[in-house]
Amino acid sequence: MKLEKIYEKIKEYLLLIEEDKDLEEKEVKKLQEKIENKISKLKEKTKFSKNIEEENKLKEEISILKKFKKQLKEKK
Amino acid sequence: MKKYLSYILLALLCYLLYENADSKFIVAGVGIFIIGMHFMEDGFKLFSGGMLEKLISKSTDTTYKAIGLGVISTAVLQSSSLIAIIVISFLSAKLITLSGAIGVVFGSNVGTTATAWIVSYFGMKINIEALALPMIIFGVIFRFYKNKTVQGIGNILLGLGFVFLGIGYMKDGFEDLKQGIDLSQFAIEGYKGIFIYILVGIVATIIIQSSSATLALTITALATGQIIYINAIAITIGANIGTTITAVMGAMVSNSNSKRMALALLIFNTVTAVIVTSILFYFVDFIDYLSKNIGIDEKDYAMKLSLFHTVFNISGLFIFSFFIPKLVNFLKKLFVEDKEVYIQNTKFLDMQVVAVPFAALKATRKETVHLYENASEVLSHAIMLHRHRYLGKTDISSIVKESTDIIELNIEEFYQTRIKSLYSDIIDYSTYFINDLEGSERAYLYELRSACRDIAEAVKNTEELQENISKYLLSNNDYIKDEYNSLREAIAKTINTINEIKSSKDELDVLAKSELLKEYLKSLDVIATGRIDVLIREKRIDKKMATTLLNDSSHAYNIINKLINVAKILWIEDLTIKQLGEDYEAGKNL
Repeated sequence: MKLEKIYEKIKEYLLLIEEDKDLEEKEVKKLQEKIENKISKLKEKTKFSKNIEEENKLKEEISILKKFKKQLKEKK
Repeated sequence: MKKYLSYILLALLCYLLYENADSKFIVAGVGIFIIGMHFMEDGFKLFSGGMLEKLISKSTDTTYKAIGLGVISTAVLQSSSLIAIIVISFLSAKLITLSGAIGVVFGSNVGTTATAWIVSYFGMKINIEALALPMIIFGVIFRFYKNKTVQGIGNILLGLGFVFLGIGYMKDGFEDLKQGIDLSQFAIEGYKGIFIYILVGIVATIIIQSSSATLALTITALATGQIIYINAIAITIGANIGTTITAVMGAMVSNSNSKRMALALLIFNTVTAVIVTSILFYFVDFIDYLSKNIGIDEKDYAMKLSLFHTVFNISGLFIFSFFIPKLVNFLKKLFVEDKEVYIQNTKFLDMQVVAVPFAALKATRKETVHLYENASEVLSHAIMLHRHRYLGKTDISSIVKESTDIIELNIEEFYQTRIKSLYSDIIDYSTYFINDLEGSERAYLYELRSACRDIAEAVKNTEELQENISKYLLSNNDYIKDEYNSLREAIAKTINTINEIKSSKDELDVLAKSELLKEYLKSLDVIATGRIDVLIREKRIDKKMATTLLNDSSHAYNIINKLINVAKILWIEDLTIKQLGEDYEAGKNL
């Protein structure tokens, strides 16, 4: 009886941990989408950029965001 | 005066208990009821796990939202005093506006009428004593659990158990008292009775310090026929005024925000009371009409009194909801906030806020931002620039070259008066609530403390740099001048980028900009870029200049690095983005 109770409790905890993991995965996915969006917006901006300095800055930002994307992918 | 008054009250209580043995059940009932309310308040604090604070900090942007939040949260939590504490703390920490805070507290006045319904419905219709004891038993057991939520449920059960037990004792006390004395013989009809019993309600609430307890007492007395309905209504009006007088007395020695809130409540309850009292008999007829329509029995005075209490407060809310902006202006003019005499004073660290750890954490964050503002001013002056000259500008490089005026500044003095004093105050303040924080909130407080340390160290690092900038800014050697200008430019660009970060609502943007700054930082390294070798080899600068430049580029590197860390701590709160930043840093170091 006691063992059964312990087993039930462990099962409950495991379920909670799993739910927590799901939530984390969802957050990461959301962040990935956000990065994608930002990259495409910045790329669009570079097309209309008038000076080289600004264009370089935007390109650097895109490069950093791509690194973030890679980082998240590796984590998965 | 207060001390003597309490002695007189104690003596009167002893006399009452001695003279009339039955009264001890009533008095004990009130005591147990109040203990129950305290347990319930503690229980909800533990159970909500900071959710309520987060909700209040984010849902008071419009008056109607604030009112709704006040009504619902108080009805659920059964504690208007807990809501008032949170609201005043948030207001003192400048997390919510005065109109938002007033909205919540006015709403809370309506929400608190739920207590009367619980007492009149559960207390008078169900044998709640049978429920009270099991609730207390399970409440005590749950309090032994380690899990805070279970502990919270335990406190709520214990609180409810005591509240029900208290009502039970009051009911029994009045029933027994009826055998001896019939209090209803003191009933006074007409307006004379109304005024006398309003006064009774005010005095009773000031003595008991709880309008809910006064109401519970009145409802039980009414249900047992010890007072008449119209007098009970007058006590209810008095209790509403009495509870604000208690708040006003407490606020007298407090800060301007507490005074504003207390006066707002006093005006709200007194004006509502005056209006309703002047048309009381029509109002009572209206309550009778309403009762009939919602199925309350004509003779069920306890329920009718609860309905009166609710409609009375809703009427007040209806009248005042149109005047909140005017009331806010009036209160702001009446209680002016202490102006900052010296900028080194803390702006957000109010000791009253410590009562709500979540608000205290937010206040600490705001104060750290304030510390950063002070530091960015001294850093700008140390590199011989005024912030208004370069913040928000794109051509910082040329601004730096053009600004050659020396700004006289004693960094050590500035550090002692405007940085160290604030830094010490923040650390001292955080010790008062750190133990009440848990998990990610406690971790964030540690981060804020390290941000404060980084800010202080960044300022300390400028001492030597400032000395050499003023020395080489007027030098005839253009090479060393250019090198120092590039250090000035780097610091100015960092402060400018952080200024952009501050107003950015996109935390991903904050992280990307911070990392870009770090990349830019690499260009400062005169050794890694090989610039120092060229300068020495081609005899553009002498050996002494070279070592000074090496030291100062290291100082500038440290300053910028620390400022970037501070920016990340202050303006990235999303845990996923924070983690991404940490992973990225770790990846770079591999």
